Amino acid sequence: MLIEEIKKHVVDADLTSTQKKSLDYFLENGFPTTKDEDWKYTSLKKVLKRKYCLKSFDFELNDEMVQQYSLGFKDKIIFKNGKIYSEPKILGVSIKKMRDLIMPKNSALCYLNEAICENSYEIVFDKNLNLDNPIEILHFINNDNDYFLQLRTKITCGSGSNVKLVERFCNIGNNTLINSCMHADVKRNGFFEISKLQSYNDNTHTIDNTLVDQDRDSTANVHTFSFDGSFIRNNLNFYQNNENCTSNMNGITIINKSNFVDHHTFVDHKFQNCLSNESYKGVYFDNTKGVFNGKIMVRPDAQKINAFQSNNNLLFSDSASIKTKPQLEIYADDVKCSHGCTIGQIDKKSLFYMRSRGFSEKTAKGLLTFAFLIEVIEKLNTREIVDYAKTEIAKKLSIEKGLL
Amino acid sequence: MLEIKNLKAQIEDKTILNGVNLKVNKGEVHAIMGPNGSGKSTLSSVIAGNEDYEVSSGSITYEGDDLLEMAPEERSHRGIFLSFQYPVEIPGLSVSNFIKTAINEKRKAFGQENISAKELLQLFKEKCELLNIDKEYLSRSLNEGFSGGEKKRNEIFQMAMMEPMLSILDETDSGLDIDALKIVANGVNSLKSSSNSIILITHYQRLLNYIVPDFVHILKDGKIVMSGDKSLAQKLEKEGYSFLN
Repeated sequence: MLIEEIKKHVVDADLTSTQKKSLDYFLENGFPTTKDEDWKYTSLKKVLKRKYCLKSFDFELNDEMVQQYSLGFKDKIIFKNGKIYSEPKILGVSIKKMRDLIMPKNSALCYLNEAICENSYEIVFDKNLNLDNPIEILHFINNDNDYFLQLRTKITCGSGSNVKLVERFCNIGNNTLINSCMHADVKRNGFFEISKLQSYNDNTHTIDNTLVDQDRDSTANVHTFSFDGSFIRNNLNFYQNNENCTSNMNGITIINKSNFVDHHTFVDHKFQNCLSNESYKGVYFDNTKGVFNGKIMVRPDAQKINAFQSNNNLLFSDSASIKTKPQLEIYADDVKCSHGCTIGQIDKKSLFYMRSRGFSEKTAKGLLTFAFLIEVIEKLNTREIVDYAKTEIAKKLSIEKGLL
Repeated sequence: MLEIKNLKAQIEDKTILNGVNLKVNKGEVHAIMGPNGSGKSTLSSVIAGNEDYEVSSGSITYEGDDLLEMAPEERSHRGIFLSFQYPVEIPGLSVSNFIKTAINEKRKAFGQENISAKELLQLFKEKCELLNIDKEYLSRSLNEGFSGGEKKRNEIFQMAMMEPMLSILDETDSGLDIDALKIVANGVNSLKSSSNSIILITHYQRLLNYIVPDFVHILKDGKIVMSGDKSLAQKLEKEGYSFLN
């Protein structure tokens, strides 16, 4: 049904030849189904059932709304339904709208995005630019009808630059399916960090594709906080295209109700002397479902690399579930790779210890859950992000934030 | 203060306590000794409210109320403190924050205001001195990376901060070197008063040289088989448990 809508939508569109090719690829393959290995546990069926419109729409945005979603950073790039609305004036930062913006792709959804996204932007951070504070990217989304939105951004971090971003999708309208593609191109000796704040309302369904290309001596950190939203699929890919790259991935997921979160990560170690470090922790309440799939590829030339991966999960309900799978493919012989995943409940001994000190069961469970997450929180180095995480965690655990 | 009558308790299907009777009055120090597996730690866990153990019969009355009806946190609010044999580690939660929250949870239960920062600091200072604890240790994560001795000392530090009515020290002496043992014993002695009581669970008479008990009980096969004064502990040390046969 949505495919028919897409076909109708492109009849009048003036597609470039690349876009046409991508469209053909998508139409040939269609949306991923549970028959695809990468989507085995993640069905788009329910999400795709709605009658979405693809036309964008303009709406009023005021400061109050911006403040509500902002973590308070001074510099913001604001989009309305994918169209640029305001940008900061910072020397060395430029934003260009692109007609053809080619990116790496990891599923048919990336082809679809390439084919029909009307607002593609490249944000360029000049070489050696050193940003003191993170820049917030806020995507405001609103539509009268159920809406299928494509977001497409390329981030170019010039050599030697130091770029920190915070990204948030703020849906203030109806049911929206967001298909976002972000490609970060981190040049030599660059530092790139993005924190993804996934605190969406129940009307928001997200497919978040983040692809990071790294050149020699660069570092890229992606922190993903998945707290709310009925359906979240994160595809996070790192491509280490030269020596001495570092890729860090951290994730905190705490969900309740019937929400669903899927983290699919991929690190492609192609060169020697590189590092990847991945730590995802999840807490699942009620009828939630989680999926974690961490793939690490170590190619024959990628000697002397270190790759660490861990995924730890706490289940708080008999009807909550998590499917977790490490997937290592190692074709080099002088490497250090480790992975581990756990699924468990709150430790009864610890719970009794705290209750015997007078802590209520709720507070004790909350603090023990926070203790479970602390390893990831300690990797965050921005006060506002730590504060955001603590606020959301305290809310989910029904404890006072002051205790954390 | 505490009266245990014919207490029977089991874990899963295994009976561990098999008719314990014990009466502890205000101001008294009781030592409970006994061979491995006799039920000493089970008794302390049942008094503190560990739900892993099922009480099949008998009663525990604390200050006139049915203790078995109370949740573990309520027992704590009412002044019962268990010094754990194996304290748990909680990363990310500092010693000071943990104790502050424990104190405030108790205050909340009685409708009192949170402890003021000034009062808390004063209390920390006083008790750190008492137990010869460096103040820096307050900001460490609770028990994380602590040595066995540090964990035990931390238990007694919590006890000092929370000023319980009935303290149960479950093998607090194990894992302590002789200097640490003296410090901990001095701390416990200075917290002792005519209005609170202590139950010491120990394998060795050594601790009882420093904390002198009014009564010594021997627990065997889930029952108190003999009670006496401190000389009973000395006899045990000399002769072992074989004289019970």
